[in-house]
Amino acid sequence: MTNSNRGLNRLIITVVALTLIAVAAWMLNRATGFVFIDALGEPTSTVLWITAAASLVLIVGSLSWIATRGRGHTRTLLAANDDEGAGAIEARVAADLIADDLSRVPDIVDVSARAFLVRGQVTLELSVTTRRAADVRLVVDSVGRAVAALDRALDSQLPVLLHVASGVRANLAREQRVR
Amino acid sequence: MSTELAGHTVAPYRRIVRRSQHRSRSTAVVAVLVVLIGVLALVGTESVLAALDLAPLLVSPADVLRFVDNPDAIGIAVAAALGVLGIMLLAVAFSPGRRARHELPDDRMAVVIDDGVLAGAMVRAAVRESRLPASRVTAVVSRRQGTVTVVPTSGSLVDSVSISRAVENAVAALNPQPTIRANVTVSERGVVGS
Repeated sequence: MTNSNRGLNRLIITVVALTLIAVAAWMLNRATGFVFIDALGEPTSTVLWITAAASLVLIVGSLSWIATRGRGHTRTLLAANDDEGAGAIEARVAADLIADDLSRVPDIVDVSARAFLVRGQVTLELSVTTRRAADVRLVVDSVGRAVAALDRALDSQLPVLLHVASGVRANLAREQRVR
Repeated sequence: MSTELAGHTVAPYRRIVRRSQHRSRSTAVVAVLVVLIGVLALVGTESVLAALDLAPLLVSPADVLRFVDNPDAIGIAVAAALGVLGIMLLAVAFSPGRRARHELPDDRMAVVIDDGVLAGAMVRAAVRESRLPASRVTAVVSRRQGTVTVVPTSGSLVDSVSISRAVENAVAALNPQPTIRANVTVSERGVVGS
């Protein structure tokens, strides 16, 4: 649940794709003479300098775009400031509390928790890995009880996303077959 | 699904569920940009070298433009490859990028579950009802339907109606969104022993 701008991700891929298609169309058209277009000819010194500058700008832009993927995590789950002082609870604390509560549920193999900022609101993402052919109702209800306990401990109700996963390979395959 | 929590509405739930059910394409973008950076680094370097009348590293911009302007057989092959690559990238950009996951309604949390887990729940229901070993029951879940395949023991009958009912009840109890139609097929050929 990162805050990557998905619309812009699509836009970048689209622009690169259209550029490739345009180059291909230009070359195929020149080869077949389908529509008459003047050749590009020899590059002038000005064109070369502009190309070099544009390349540099696009390289810097690309590097910064790559470097900013996967942001949006936050370590702090809850912060409270009042007259007596300031306190903060880290996401790891919530993960430990929940994992501890769920350690006795037989169908749950692994629990992990991460906190994200979604539109300025701290959101807890719980990932639960289950055993094959698990009792899903029991798993979801157990997590629900653990979250209710967390609500009482924190004295506040954070938005929670529960992701019930079937293992590492589950995300790769389109259809999942369970034996 | 916006949920009332402790007196204040938590709007992000709709957004959270939608985002966890679709790929972000960050991997694709990073791959595309890494290649782009390499190409641009070469283009920029060669442009500067040509502008300063120095010898090119690999190929001079003038040669590249001649190649693009008057493509030979190799040029046509290169153009076709670039075109196919562009169309593939367009497909990546415009496909829905849906993940194999379903949402489960819940009062407190946003719950998203992998289709493999859903298939597992259907297998569990079928195994309990049929009392067959778990290795004889398989299930496949796609976006709108789940199919359970049961391989019976040779010579013994399997009550496919009761298995269907058990599987349908298990699915109904979870109520995954989008809804799933459950099918149970009993294999024509049985297997000897357990």
